[in-house]
Formats: sequence, C-alpha cells, structure tokens
Amino acid sequence: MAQRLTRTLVAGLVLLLAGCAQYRNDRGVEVNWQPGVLEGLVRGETTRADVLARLGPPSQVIASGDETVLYYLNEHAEGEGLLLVLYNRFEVDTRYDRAIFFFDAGNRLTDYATWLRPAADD
Amino acid sequence: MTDSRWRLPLASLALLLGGCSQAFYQLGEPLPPAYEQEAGGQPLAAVLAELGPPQRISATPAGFVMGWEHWRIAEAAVGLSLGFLGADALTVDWGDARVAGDFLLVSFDHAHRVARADRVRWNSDVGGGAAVQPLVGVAPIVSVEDLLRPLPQHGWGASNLLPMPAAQNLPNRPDQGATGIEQRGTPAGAGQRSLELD
Repeated sequence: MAQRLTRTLVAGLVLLLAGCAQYRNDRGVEVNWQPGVLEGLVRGETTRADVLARLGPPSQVIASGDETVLYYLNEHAEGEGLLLVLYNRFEVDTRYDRAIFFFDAGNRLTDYATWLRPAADD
Repeated sequence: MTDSRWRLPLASLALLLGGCSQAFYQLGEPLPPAYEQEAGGQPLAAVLAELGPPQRISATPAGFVMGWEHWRIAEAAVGLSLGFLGADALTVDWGDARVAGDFLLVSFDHAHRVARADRVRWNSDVGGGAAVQPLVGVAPIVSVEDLLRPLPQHGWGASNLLPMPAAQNLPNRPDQGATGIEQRGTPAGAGQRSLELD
C-alpha cells in the first residue's frame, strides 16, 4: 500500500512539474517576394520604382558607385522546449527569408535573387 | 527494502533541487561544400542562384562583399544544491557552450564577377564556467546571447538613434551597408567598432 502511494506521488510530482513550450518570432519586413509577385521582372527593363511598388520599402538600401541595392529580410525563428524540471531542453531554428535587387545608374534592374524557407517549416 | 528503493530518488528530488538545461540553436541554412573553390570568376547571378541572397552585404570601393553563414550553437548548464552535504545555503553550477560555424565571404568587382571567395569553418568551445553561489544560482555562468542577435539589417534605419558612442561611430559601423561586414559575435571593442567601447 505504501509502495503504491509512493509511486503515485512520484508519478504525480513528475506530471505536475513537467511542461512544454513553443516559441515563434518574426522580425523584419513582410515577405512579399513569392514567385507570383516577381513574375514579369526583366533585367534591363524593370525599374527600381517597379520593385518598390511590388515589395514595399526594403530593410536596407546600399549604394556602390552608381549602383543601388535593395535588400529585404525577414527573420523567422521557431523553437520548442521540454521542461521536466530536472532536465530541460530547448531547440530554436532561425531561418532568413530574403530578397536582393541590384540596379544600375539608370535605375534599371541588373540582378536579383530571392530565398524563401520551405513551406514545410510553417 | 522496497521503501528504501524509493527513498533515494525522493531524497534526491527534494534535496538536490538541481537540474540540467540544454539549448540548441541553428541559424541559417547549411552551405554547399567546397563552394569557395569553384566560385572564382563566376557572375553574380550564378552565385545568387546557387546560394540565394547573402545574409550580410556591403559595398566596397572595388564592388561588393557578401557573407553567407550557418551556425549551430549548443549551450548546456547543470546546477545542484549542496543540501545533501549539509550545506543548504550553497548551490553549485556548471555551464558550457559550443559553436559550429560556417562563414563564406565572397567579394565581387564592379563587373559583378567573383574577385575572391574565402571560407572559414570552426567547431569549438566558446565559453563555460563553474560557480558556487549562495541559496540559488543567480549569476549566469555561460551565455551565447551575443551569437544569437538578429541580423543588422533590421536596425539599419534606426542607426542614427543609437546611443553614444555608437552613434558617433556611425560612418564606420559595419552594419551600414557601405563599410564592410563583420561576423556574428564580433565584440564591440574590435575593428571598426573599437570607438564604441564605453
């Protein structure tokens, strides 16, 4: 009887004190550079104004000589935690959705690239 | 006999009041192996198609410099009370942190061609400590906060509002997009940010 009570107490203690946690954090500009939004961008033709109209203000503007660069960044962090009082474990995975556009002296698009984290991460 | 079997774990739970914490962080995506060896002379478009946009970028007098990075950070801490030794007022803490980093730095000329590609990888212990503290462990003995900070682009527009002396050093700060880039975890008192050290 005493043994059963002890086991129940221990099990109850472990259950009461155990917990879990989830964590999600997004920082940066809204991710507007899905493939559909970028359809129609043409190197040598698309202007900086076109890109700004589609994507909005960037995270950073960089100038190098006559060139300008628009840089867009969204930082997405997801984490999980296991709280067992005597042992706690946390895992956080941070990925960077980003897009970059280069323009020449005439404000025409010369190069661009985008990266979106896999949809499975959502 | 049966009762004594449970006494030890119960006593440990009640008296040790200790625990172990582990934290694992991953930042960015793994980079392709040996990319730096075949990048020489490649056009910017090809590099961006392979690696995606860089995490760090800056204009330079010769063109651009871009950085891609992938980090794995592990932090572990163990703490326990010395109550079982009769020293109720003391706790013992131990902590350790390890980092595996991969940083690819590619320089481009004004013609948008790779002028140089360099890479550094490391897997090392970046900190740790042990402490005996009264009652509860208050002082942290290991911290990786400086390695987990958001990328600097988020604060680009607000840089002019930084407190002194960081604002005074604005023309030299490596997060402005025109004065180079720096690796994650670089202390404020190093390189271009030497002047920011209070």
